[in-house]
Amino acid sequence: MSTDTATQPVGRYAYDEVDRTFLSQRVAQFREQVGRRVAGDLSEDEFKPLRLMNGLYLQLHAYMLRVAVPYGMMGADQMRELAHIARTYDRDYGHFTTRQNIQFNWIRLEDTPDILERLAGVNMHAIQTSGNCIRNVTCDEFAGAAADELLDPRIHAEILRQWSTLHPEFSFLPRKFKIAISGSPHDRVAARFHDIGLVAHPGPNGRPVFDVFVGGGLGRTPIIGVHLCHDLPEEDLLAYLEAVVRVYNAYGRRDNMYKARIKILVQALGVEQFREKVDAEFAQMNRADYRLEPAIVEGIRARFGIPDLDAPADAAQKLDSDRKADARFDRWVRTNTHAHRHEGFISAVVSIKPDGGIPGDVTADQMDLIADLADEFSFGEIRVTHMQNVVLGHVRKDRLRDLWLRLDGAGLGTPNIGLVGDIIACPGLDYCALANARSIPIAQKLSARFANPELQENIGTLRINISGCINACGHHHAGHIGILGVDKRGEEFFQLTLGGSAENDVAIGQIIGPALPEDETVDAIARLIDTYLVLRNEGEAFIDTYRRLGAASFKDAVYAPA
Amino acid sequence: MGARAWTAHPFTAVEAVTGPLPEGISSEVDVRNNRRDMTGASVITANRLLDGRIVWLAPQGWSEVISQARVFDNAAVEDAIKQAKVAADAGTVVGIYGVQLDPEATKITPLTVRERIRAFGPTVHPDFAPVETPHVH
Ligand code: HEM
Ligand code: SF4
Repeated sequence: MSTDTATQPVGRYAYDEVDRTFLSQRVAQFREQVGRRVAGDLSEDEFKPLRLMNGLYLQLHAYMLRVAVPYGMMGADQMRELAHIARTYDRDYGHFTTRQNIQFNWIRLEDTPDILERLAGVNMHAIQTSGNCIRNVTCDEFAGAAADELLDPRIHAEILRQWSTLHPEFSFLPRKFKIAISGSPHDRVAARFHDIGLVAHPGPNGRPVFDVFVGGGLGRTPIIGVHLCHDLPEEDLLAYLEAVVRVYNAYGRRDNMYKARIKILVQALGVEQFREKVDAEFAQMNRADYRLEPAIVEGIRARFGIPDLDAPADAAQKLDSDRKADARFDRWVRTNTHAHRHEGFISAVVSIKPDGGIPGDVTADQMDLIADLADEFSFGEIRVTHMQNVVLGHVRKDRLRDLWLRLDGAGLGTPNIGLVGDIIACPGLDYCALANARSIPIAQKLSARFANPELQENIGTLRINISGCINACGHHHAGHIGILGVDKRGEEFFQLTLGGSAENDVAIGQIIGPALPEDETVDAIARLIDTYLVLRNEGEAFIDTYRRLGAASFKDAVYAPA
Repeated sequence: MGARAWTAHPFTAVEAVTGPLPEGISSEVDVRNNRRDMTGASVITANRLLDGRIVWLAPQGWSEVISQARVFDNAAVEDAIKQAKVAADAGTVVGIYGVQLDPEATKITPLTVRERIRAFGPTVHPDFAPVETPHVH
């Protein structure tokens, strides 16, 4: 088998025969299970864990299939297959989630084996996108491209994917388990809101070392992860994580679903005692079995395609002059790009948050266009972000305007990344069987109200996150403004939290007061933002004004309409 | 064969293991959705096994539109749910439960937002509302 990185898919791991054989066996197995369910040989209670292990949920209107995008990386060929699935088996669209998955909302059980077979054809699957196992490992959307990155976390994300996939000891953990990894000092993965968050940087001998955070999470009990281990050597990464998950598996609560996440265990034991247990487990493990030798890591790295970053010497100059010539393009570059490690390249963020649109929803035609643009402009490589957007990682600066013109022409050029319009929203009551209230209509009304790009830029960095229930899939506690749907006698109400952040300044948003009725929520948030505009100091972001002044200054605006 | 980080564990047959149901959804329908007052009226709903679509218990079989649903007095609905669960076609649907209706509404309309969304489709996609030219089966 070739290990020539020029022929490998750029930015992701090239499957080998073992991976492919396993996927096709798994599809055949599920096809047989579906057959037995339809024939009545399996009851719903028997079948449900089997379908969930293959990413198939029963939601409000139909089955929902959650497909993993490992560490957020996919290729144009894979995106085209997702478009095909959306068109053929769903209603022409899919929904990107904050955990770098895609969900299809209108799937039929009877079609699912065929869909999984098509996915397997492009090395994709839905395994471990549900259940009490280690879920899709998430990663920095600018991995391998960002100027501020210290090392590319995707190689170790892939190693963790291989380690955690069908790990027999960890198939029935007390609860789901989510890992995120970053190689940048700037936290873009919410490392401290994960069961395990890893932040990698180069160590003394040139090999990576990892800062390990554990026991973070949102949901019913939001907790910031604690720092468990400083500079864990690469060779011990798997052994140490295995020790952490073993301790959780052994001591995590199984009697109460709401107290079953590792965060509860870490809080109950205290970080010192938790660390002692992990260290004891780690000390008695046969570390040689787990040792991650540089040769293994380099073998994995060799299966990642590397983009040939070759740009004309005047690429940056050309971008400068393009920006001067076109104010709309200039604005989009300001808001929707990220600095690349190569001076002739830049990363472009495609906003999946059109004004008044549904955050994260992409039509089949848009998926095909993104795939074509990835082929033309970014080595066929596509990234899904934890903000429910899409990134083309390596775009030549002199070609950025061409890319933007094509995106803009297709309604994918909204200049709102990191601004009011870049709202994270879960599917909420419009789709989700667990929801209390609708998230999407609130997101749509807010984004329509603040559509004006000058206004958005004037307001500046503002993260609005919406969840339709306490499960917090929309990370509302981590939003500068968080919105949580609650149910009062079958009617929708919304509770606001202020001051959360998932980044380096990590914080849990605090509830500002009683929940608001649906039809008052958007107005209340608009008053909140107006108040900020009045109170802010020169150049001060919303979150900083809030931190300086506290909740009281904003409470009146929310509860005392003019 | 390419390098692999991890070869120690063989692929396990998924069915060999059993355990708690994953993902927050108990095998019984969430009680929130099945609640009702002493008085008033209800209809009975489920999702169809094969395609997951929402269906409503009609005078004959299950219908895709709520307007065709059979309306029960709340006093009688528990028994009707029990019967639906053992009826000949019970295996074609999953998650049977009762839905309280809005007494003020002129046509059959559930009382809660959740059940209105189930009956009339996602509010953010009026184009996906169940079609009113039903076939009962
Ligand atoms: C519609 C089907 C979905 C269902 C049934 C569902 C269910 C759940 C549940 C029950 C939890 C809480 C787990 C716990 O705290 O133990 C959870 C957490 C989470 N979900 Fe979902 N979810 C769905 C969709 C989504 C979507 C669309 C996203 C992304 C936009 C998402 C992202 C997350 C994240 C990031 C968490 C972790 C929050 C935490 O740290 O506690 N989920 N989900
Ligand atoms: S937060 Fe609640 S409503 Fe939203 S997707 Fe998660 S479970 Fe559903």
